[in-house]
Amino acid sequence: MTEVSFAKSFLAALDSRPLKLSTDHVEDPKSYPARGAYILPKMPKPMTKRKATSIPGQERSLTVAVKSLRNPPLDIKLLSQTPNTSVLDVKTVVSQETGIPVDKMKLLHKKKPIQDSKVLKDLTTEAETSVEFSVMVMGGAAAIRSVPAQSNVAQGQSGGEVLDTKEFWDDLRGFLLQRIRDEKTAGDLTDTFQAAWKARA
Amino acid sequence: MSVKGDKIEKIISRLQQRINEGQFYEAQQQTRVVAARYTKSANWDAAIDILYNVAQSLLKAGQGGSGGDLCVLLVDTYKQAELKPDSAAKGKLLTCLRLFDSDEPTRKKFIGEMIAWSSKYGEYPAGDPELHHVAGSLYAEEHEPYDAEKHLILGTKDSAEVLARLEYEWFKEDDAHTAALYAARGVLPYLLTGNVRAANACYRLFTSALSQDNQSQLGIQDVSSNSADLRVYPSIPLLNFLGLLLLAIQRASPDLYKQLHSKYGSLLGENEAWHESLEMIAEMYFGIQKPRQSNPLMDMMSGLLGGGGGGGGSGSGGARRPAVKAPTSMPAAEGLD
Repeated sequence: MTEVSFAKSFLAALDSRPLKLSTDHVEDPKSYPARGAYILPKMPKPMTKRKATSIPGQERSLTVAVKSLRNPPLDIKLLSQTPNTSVLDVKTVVSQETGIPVDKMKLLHKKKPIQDSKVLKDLTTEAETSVEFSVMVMGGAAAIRSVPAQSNVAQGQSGGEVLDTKEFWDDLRGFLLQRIRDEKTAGDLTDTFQAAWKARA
Repeated sequence: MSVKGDKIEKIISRLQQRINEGQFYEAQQQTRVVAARYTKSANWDAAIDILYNVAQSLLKAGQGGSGGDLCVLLVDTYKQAELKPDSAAKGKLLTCLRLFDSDEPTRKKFIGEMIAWSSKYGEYPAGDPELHHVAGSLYAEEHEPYDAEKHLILGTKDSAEVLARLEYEWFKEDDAHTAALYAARGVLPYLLTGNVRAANACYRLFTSALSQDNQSQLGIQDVSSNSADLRVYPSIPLLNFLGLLLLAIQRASPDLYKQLHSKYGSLLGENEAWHESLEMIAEMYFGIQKPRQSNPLMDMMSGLLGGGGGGGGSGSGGARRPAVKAPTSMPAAEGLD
């Protein structure tokens, strides 16, 4: 019997039997036994290895835009991300910038929620250079913890007070030394500045 | 958090400074010492934070060996902390995993460890499907088909497509008449895992790629009945066998399987590689008892030992061949839907 005529008669035989199992049937993966998967024995021909296609630095880079449609308004751009940047990585950066906890954040791509383990290259074609996400914040703006006031850390003293500190004059001496490359001249100059400033005050 | 976080951040940037200076070994050793201190005081967040960040920096600096060592230590810390595989914990591991060079030997160990961790502390005894999917996809990209198969078979809904594409790529290096051998590498193992949906997806994706590439030469003919359609490949009989097998499985009737098996008997006889899986499939889906050569008492003993003694990280490696016991319970479960 030829392939086609056998297939025809077999399909006809199938028609007469009741359907027992859907084509979409999946055993609950939680019931899989604790062992590795069964795979077929090795093939006589090994697959040709793929040479590393991406030399670091030559990988294409992607721009990620994260926007929110509702409160709180957000518009964050992340430049030059690698195709292997995961959704979780993006969330982590957004969290650092906005104070939205990572676990309260959902990122949508083309209006569909995406898993944390997906990476940018899963979501884009080779030709695309940007990805856009929209953010959903679970529990709304209330979920956001206040962003730590970073300005306090960076600034310290300012204005005239700075000039009263020894550090400032040491810094200045350092700069002059670096610029003039002569310890004595730099020291003299610093003292001149300092004396002049004090005299003025 | 922020006060403590600052301290940890300082530690991390000091260690990263070492890496920038090229003192990789020192950075690795110091990280181990610092992480051990936090682990000892059960400050898991701090230990994990440090390991995660320094491991990444080492991997990015091309130090696969020392970075990989810290990655394995990271999983070890997860285990000690009895951390559940939630998306944040998994995400950290996957971020590290993607930074590895494909030829870095510690990567395989790292993958094995993370699967074992997810199997012990998560809901999936065979390992977390998402971790399997990502690991399998990496191997697929690198054309490591056996490793890719092992993970993708236990992966997510997306895995079937990755596997089908890999098998098809692989097939393209071989002669046209071998198509079924490559398609089966996805279809049969998925069936053995009880994943009929993935087996069908694999077959569909593989055959549609094949039809697309070879429209004219194959002489494809479509056959349909009231309930089923099949694309018949007159020159590749075993591919038709797989297609018909997938259709027959929906009916779970043993005589259909026997009819199919006798039609393709001589070809199947030459194809040693499928014997074992087809016997198991016959038993799982058609209730056909597998001819036993071994001592039934031994089977029972190994069943008992295999079931009870699975405490350790038996998720990776170990006996890959499913015991006969597990599949026999399946037709009962199938009756539910």
